[in-house]
Amino acid sequence: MEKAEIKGAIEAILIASSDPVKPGLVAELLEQPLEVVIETFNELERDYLNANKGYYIAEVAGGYRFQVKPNYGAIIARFLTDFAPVKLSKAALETLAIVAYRQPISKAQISAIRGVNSDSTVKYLTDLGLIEPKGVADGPGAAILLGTTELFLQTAGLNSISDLPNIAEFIPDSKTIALIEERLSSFLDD
Amino acid sequence: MLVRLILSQRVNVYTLDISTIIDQFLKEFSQLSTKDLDTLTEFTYTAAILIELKTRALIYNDTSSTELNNIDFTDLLIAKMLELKTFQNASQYLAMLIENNQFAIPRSYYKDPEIESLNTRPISTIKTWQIIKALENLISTSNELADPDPHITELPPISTEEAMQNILKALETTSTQSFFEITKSCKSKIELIAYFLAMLELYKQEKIELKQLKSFGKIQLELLNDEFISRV
Repeated sequence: MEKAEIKGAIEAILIASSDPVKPGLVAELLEQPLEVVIETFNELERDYLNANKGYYIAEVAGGYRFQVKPNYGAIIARFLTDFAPVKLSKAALETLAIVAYRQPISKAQISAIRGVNSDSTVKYLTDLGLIEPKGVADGPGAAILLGTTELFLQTAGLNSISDLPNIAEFIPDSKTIALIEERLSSFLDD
Repeated sequence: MLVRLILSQRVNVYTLDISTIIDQFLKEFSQLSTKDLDTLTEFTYTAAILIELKTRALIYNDTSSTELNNIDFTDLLIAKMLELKTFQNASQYLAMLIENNQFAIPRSYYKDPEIESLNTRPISTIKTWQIIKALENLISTSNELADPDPHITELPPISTEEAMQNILKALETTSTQSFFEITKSCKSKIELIAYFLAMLELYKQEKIELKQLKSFGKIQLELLNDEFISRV
C-alpha cells in the first residue's frame, strides 16, 4: 500500500467516525505496521494544523479525531441547537479530581478525602459517563473501585490520564500551609 | 468549608466558639443560590470537627501527659486539610481543562437513539469458524434462495382439489380446526394459497363453516355434518 493511499484511507476513516480512532485498529484494518500508521497520523495532524482550515486532527483519549478549531467553537455551538457544554459543580469537580488522581478508588475513600458523603456526586458523574466501576477491592466488603472513562479524557481534551500534571503541583504553597498550621496549632494549644 | 473559612480569615479558629462558626455558616448558607445536601453535610462535618477540636483542647489543657497525642492530632488534621486543598486545586485545573476544551467540538453525525441502543457490531462476538460455516450454508442453499423469474408462475405442489380433500380429512378427526393448524406443514406461499382457495371452495359448497372473530384473527374451520346441511 502506497503512503498516499494509507494517508487517504486514514482520512476517510477519520471522516467516517465521530469517536477517536485508535492507530492500532487502523493498523489492523489496513494491514500496515503500527509505526507507519502512527507516523501517517502525525503527518496528517501536522498537515491540518498548518492548513488554514476551521478544523484539525486532535489526539484525544488514545486516538485521533477531527474537531473544530476552538476559535470557531463558539460559532459552531450556536449553529448546533442541541449543543450543551459540560457544566460541573464544585463538588463534582472535586470528586472527579480525586478519582482522576487516585484511581482506582472506592466511594468511601472519596468521602473520607472530601469529608462529606459523596454518593450523589459519584452517581451524577457515573450517569454523565465521566467515571465508571473499574474493579472490586480485595479487602473486606469488596468495595467497587472507580476510575475515569474515555469520555472523561475526551471532555478534558487529554490523550491519556498520564497527561495530567503531577498532583504535587497542586499542593498548597508554603504560605497557605503555614497559615493552616498556625491557626490550627494555636487553637489546639489554647 | 472549614479550610475555606479558616483561609478566608472570616473565622479565626484561635478565638473561635462554636456559636460563631454556626452564625458564619448560616450567613454563608443564606447567601447560596442553591441549597444542596452536600453543603448541609459539609456543615455537619465542619461542626463535628470543631466540636472535637474544642473538646480535645479543653481536655488536653488540663492533662499535660497527653500533649503528644494532641500534637499528633493536629498533624493529622493539617495533613487531611492539605490533602483536600490539593484536590480542590486539582479540581480547579480540571475545570479549566474542561472549559478550554468545551468548544473543541468533534466531528459528529446524527445517531438515531433507537439504532444507538442496538448492538451496532453484531458480529463482534462471532468466531471465525462460525462465519465460515454460515458462508458454507449460504453457498449450499444459494440455488434455493435465488429469486424466481417474475415472468413464470410457479405451479403449486398441490392442486386445489387435493387441498380440499386434505382439509376435509383434517376436519374428520377434529370437527373444528384453525386454518393455521391445517396449513402449518406448508412449505411455500403458493401451497398456502392453494389451501386458502380450497377453503373458500369448501365454504362455497357449504361443506364447512368459517369464523373469524377479529380482523387478521385466526380463521376457524368447522365441518358441517349432513344433519345440519339437511336442516338448512
